[in-house]
Amino acid sequence: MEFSLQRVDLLKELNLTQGVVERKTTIPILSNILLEASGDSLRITATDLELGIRSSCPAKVKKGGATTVAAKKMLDYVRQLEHAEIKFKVVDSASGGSLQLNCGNSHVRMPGIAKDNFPVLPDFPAKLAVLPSGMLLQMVSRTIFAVSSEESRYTLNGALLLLKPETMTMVATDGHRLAHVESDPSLVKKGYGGVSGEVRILVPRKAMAELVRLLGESKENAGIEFGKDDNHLFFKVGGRLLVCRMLSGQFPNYEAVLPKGNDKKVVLDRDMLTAAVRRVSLFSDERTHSIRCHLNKDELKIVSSGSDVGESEESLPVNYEGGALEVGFNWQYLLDFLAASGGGEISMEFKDEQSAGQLRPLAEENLRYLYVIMPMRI
Amino acid sequence: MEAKSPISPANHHAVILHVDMDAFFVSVEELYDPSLRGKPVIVGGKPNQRGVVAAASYAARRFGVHSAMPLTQAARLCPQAIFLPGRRERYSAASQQIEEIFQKFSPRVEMVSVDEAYLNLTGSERLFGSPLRAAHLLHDEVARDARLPCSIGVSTTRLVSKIASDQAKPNGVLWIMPGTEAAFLAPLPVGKIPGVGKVTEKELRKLGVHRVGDLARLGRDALESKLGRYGAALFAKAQGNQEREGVLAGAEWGEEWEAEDHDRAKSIGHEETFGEDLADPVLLEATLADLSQRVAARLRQQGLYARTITLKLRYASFQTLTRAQTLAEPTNLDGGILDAARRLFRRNWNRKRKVRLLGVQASGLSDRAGQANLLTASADQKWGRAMAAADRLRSRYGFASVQLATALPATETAQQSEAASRKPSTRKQSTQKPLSRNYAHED
Repeated sequence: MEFSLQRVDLLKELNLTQGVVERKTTIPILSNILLEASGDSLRITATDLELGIRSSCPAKVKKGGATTVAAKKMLDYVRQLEHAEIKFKVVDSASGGSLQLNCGNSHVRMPGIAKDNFPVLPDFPAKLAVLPSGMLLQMVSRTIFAVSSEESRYTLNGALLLLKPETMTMVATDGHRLAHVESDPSLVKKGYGGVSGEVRILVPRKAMAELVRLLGESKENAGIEFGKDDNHLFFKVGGRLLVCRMLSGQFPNYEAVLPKGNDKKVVLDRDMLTAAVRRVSLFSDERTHSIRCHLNKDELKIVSSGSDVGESEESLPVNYEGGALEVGFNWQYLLDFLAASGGGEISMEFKDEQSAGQLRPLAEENLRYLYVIMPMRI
Repeated sequence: MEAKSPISPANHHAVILHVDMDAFFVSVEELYDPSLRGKPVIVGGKPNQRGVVAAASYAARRFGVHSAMPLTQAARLCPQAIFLPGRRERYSAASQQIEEIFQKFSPRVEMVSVDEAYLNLTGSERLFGSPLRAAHLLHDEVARDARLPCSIGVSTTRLVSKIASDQAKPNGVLWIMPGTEAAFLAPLPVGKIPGVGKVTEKELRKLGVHRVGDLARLGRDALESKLGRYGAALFAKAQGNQEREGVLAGAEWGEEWEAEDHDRAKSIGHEETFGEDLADPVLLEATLADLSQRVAARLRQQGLYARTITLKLRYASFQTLTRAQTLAEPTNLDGGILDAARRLFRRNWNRKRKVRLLGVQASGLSDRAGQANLLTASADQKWGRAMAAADRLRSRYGFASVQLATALPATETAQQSEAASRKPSTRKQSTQKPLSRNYAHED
């Protein structure tokens, strides 16, 4: 195998694959990336068996072939190289051989492990739908923080992606809060389509995190090809393919727990509310992260008191005529939502101190974003 | 939990008796076999058996044997002792009998364990005369009707009465007159205060505190600055006062017990040492269920929620694992605690190895329910109500009256092995206090 390519092209792809390279060394080859040179490109594959990414970059291939090398070392080295062009050559590639890399006056030799030992990524099956890149990115970044990281609640370790002919919806919950994003039906005009009936899948959190990286590199209006086989989900983002193991199991019946009758409602500016919660949070109990919201006539008061550090209070003017209410929340959950929602006004809707509160940004375009947060009994 | 009043003066009208049976299990055995009287008798199992001493006669105690000591050690100290297996049914029958006697003296009886009770005789002077006379009447009646020796402490507080009954042993009655509590306590070793264990004693010794009176001399502020709120409570105890003592007169009986011994508990745990090492997953998990429901019941009893569940697993080789899991939401429900305990057990138990002991402990305690769960909110509510109902039934008909179905194999085997007088399991419950104060007693 022998080829040359542009350093910047390679660096970009290496960066995008790092997230799925296994850091633990239980299976050594998973710390490697697979390099396959043929035609006029170099194909790069990384997997940790849960997730896989395949991408490619243009290359001048003198002699085709394949090998695998240590991914982290390769990235760290390529990052520090100074010349535009890098030349690769593999000696004895059948047994993995050793990879020689030349870039200007810099030369390196790395041992390879033969390609045969590298797990085979499944092939992209029939296309199931085309998802607009911008909308998918918005949905993932508005729900990913609510995905549970508790291993015991397996079906909450991912978000539900619900595709219908005219809309797509993403829902994530860890039991303490629930984030729900639904697209406008106008989405079809933006390139969404291909779904007949209803598709319900669970997207693992790690795949969501990789999607955010890949979608960030793609064009706003690009169509993401989505497919699935019995065990895997596939997202084709431009020339890059993300494959992940599907989460099996039943996502909870979230519709049943969405708040009803939350008639104590106030509207606040997001930035003002964020700043207030941040200040109050500094004086909250460090273990529970609890703060309290007091709703009174034309005032929302947010208060906290940690046992030792002191206490803090913020008074925010609002239009409010309803009954008084005092309800406790984990400030981190509030900030997660506020950071994910766009700017403008936020509607906060409560029922009582026992029931879930509901938050919605009023200024979101093209989508409806709903955040449900359970109180803390304090 | 906050103390409503930091230190409140003792209620001078209260009459609290603490009755503690003397070497209870041994005394009961002597009823069945009078030839045992005066001899060194140890109840708990055979000398070569694992397990601990459940009770030792005073003759055996002279050799240094005490309860909770491993049987093998007791056998070394006192090889001539007569070792008897525990016979639970005998003890519960006797316990019931003495409780009935107590009930004749006061409607406000709290059996703390099979052989120990608090009686509130406040306002009964007309019936029984002075508190001392009432105590003697009770002492006589227990001796006559149950034919069992006991010791009784009388004072205006549970704390002082408990210490007094200990000082009255064996077979005595001791009345601490109102106003003399501090003087009575002062010369006693500080370890006599319930809740002051070996670790706290050591800490206190560093401060120059050996006797209860030293606490008083050190002063409340010094104790509080050294030991925090616990120091303040300790100071109050040294005076014969208890936090929340002031609410006693009007409050429900039982509330004070909570304040005295469970206030500021750091953990609540139950463990079981099997009579024979086990590797049967059904029985082991049933034991976990039983331990979990006991822990949960005590949490609820004290109005607490636990954030962390710890599993203790000891193999036959004595290798001991403790594994903890922090829950997403605090709980005091049987199911929540069992789920965590079982998960830890399944993840850590090597199925090829026999288990000697299992324990379940709840810590990270708070009196607030904390974060609610959206997905389980309505189920949690239902379970909460079901458990409250179970607690009411248990308080009337005993703990075994309501059980998790998974726990049944454990309780059934325990009963069978007792009936056949085979090696019974040993159970321990504990409440871990700040500074690792620790006490355990057989239940």
